[in-house]
Amino acid sequence: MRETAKYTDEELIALFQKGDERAYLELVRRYKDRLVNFVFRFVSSREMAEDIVQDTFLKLYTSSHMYKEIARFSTWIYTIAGNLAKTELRKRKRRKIYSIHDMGIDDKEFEIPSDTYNPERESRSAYQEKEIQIAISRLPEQFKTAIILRDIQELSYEEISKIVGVPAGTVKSRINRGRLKLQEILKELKSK
Amino acid sequence: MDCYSFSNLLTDYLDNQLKLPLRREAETHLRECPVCRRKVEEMAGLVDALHALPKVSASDSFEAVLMEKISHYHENLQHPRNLRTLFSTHSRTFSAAAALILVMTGTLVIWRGYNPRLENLPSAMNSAPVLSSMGSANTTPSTQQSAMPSKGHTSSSMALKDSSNNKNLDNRDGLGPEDFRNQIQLVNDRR
Repeated sequence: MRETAKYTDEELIALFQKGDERAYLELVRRYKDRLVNFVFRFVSSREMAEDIVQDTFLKLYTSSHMYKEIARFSTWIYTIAGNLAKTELRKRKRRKIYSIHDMGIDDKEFEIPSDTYNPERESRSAYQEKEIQIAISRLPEQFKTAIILRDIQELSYEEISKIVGVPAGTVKSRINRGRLKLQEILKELKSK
Repeated sequence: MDCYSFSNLLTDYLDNQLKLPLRREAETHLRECPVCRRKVEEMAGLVDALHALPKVSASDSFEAVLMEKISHYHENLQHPRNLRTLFSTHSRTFSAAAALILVMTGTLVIWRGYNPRLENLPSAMNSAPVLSSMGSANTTPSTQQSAMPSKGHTSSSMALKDSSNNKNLDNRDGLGPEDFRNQIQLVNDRR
């Protein structure tokens, strides 16, 4: 086998389906950071994000046969991670545990990942990271997914459309409405 | 282009998704409209802020914890799990099955409560003469007894009377629609 780094994602998953575990590890290395970032913006907790992404990779390990080559691997893995994140958020909502949704910007518990937090950069920006994260958490689920995938993960409309399972026109509309809603929430937060 | 048309294109404009002729139209409108210009600036600021959010990456222990989860999965496959683990994993299935059993039992109990014939049906079918099994309120106790051999005999005449009335009712209820139709047919044939 040539070096795993030279394979495409789809070649790697095909190899893993045939039992090559090195291919699996390569996929984990390629996607772990992207997925942790994606899920973190969803659930606002790094620990929970890591847990969800590990469960996503466990699902990849146990159900790799479910992947069919008609879809891109990235689309498939983002869909699994997104669904697990949404399930976790719903569980939390039911249990009414700690909810960032109800927090104000002065709350201390909000988690900013220490290794990436840069106060200098933040002071130059029109919005603080904390405000943005709170505003994202208050978005309706559909808008939240669209905004995170487009404006944070920087995926194309087509990819988002496949991940979310709606036409590209609907994705565009959700992004547009999501951004307007986000602006509105940020204005509210600033006025408090 | 007016402000309404432009606002519908705002996302496409910011994301560079507009084809050239439409993009030129949008830019012409922007040069003329300070309100839309301001909207674009604000929205672009927000999108930039979102792009600039720090990237959160997996911790150093991420892969080690994942491997632990995978080995735990293998262990569960190799060794039968204890009941508690089994229940916690399939708690929804167990709850659904329990609820189904409860509903079915409840339905059966209520149904039998409204249909006491179910208890007596075999005896009524085995031994009841046609006419007596059709049962009327005036049927004699002896007829009742022959129709309902499974019921106990009592020494007290009062008890016998009560008992016979009950049996009579039981016996009448004991007829299913099909038995009833058959017997009507028999009576008509005799006529």
